[in-house]
Amino acid sequence: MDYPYFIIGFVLGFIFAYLLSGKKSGEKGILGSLKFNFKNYKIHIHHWIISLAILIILIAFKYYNYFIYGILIGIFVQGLTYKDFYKIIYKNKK
Amino acid sequence: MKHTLKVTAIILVMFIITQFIGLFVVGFYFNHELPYGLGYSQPVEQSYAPAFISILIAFVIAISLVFLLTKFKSRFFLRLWFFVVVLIALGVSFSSILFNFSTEYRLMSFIALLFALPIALSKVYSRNLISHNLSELLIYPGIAAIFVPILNVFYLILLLVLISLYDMWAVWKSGIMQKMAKYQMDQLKVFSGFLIPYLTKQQRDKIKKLKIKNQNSKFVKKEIKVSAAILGGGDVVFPIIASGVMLKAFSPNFIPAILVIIGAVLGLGFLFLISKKNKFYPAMPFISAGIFLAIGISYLIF
Repeated sequence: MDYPYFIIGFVLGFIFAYLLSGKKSGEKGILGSLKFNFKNYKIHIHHWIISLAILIILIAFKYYNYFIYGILIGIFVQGLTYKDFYKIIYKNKK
Repeated sequence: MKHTLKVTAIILVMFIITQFIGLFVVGFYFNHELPYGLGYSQPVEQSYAPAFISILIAFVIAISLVFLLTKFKSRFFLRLWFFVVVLIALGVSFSSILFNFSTEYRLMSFIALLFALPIALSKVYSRNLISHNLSELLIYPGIAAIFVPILNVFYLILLLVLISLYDMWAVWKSGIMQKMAKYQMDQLKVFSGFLIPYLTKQQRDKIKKLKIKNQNSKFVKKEIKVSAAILGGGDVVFPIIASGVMLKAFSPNFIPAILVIIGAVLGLGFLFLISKKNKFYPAMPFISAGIFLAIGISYLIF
């Protein structure tokens, strides 16, 4: 693994996600959240899910770039710092 | 029967699914090295006895450590330990799937940890029962994959006998198993095993009555005890280890491994059938009996 590039990417990804997302759980950031309504439920595609999905797609297509991997994993880890990171499907408040 | 038919069926189905996932994960690592340095540096075939003794010592140390940490109410270390075990076990299970997509094993095992991380964190932070039970389906296969390479059928039987004896002592004689489960659920807010809370007919009637009684008042909070069907993690992981060892012993014939799963399910099903409400039972003696029957049949037929 190309560690220096990975670490630089990771730090940049983390800072990038920190600056663009809400500062607390439920707070809106510069970039809005990806949320859908489905019947009585709300589906929240957190940015840690999006970055993990992109990472898997890149690997599936055999695109190996550890700088990009670092960015995506930095975004992923920042996404897990929110208290509601595990709330993906929840009931709509009446 | 201790639990309702529906709840019993759910637990049994989850148990069966985990066994088959376990068989896949364990079988995968027959031809691949375990990730995160969990593999063995020397061939285990000649050293089953020392490996078995190591397992026993590890169990004794682990159980003693749990007692100590519970006694000193060291919740942080227990939760941290639980988190690390779940993370690694899930990582091992996810790696067995991801290794099929790329031969970059180190990278894949790292990606597997990324999959495992949110699940392990949510197990420690949230009490969502659906995600808890779903993640349990993948945790035990990962743990079993680590133990299968260092056991043969003889030591497996010995291990099952000892674990069953310990289970009987811990549930019927000392009651520490119930205390540990209660501590895990009430204090640590984590539980290792299947957990399905449900309402009995009486409990539902009680809630109905309360609702009618308080229909005009908006803010009424009342605590009601609910029933819960639980199956400890050990009761799930040992049958996976058993079927994995049989798969290894009879490879490429997988029927003995399937027979072990059937035996374990029958043993557990029998226990659910004869168990009575408000009583606690050690599941391992029943599961082990089913497994022994399956091992006997396997050696007779194959």
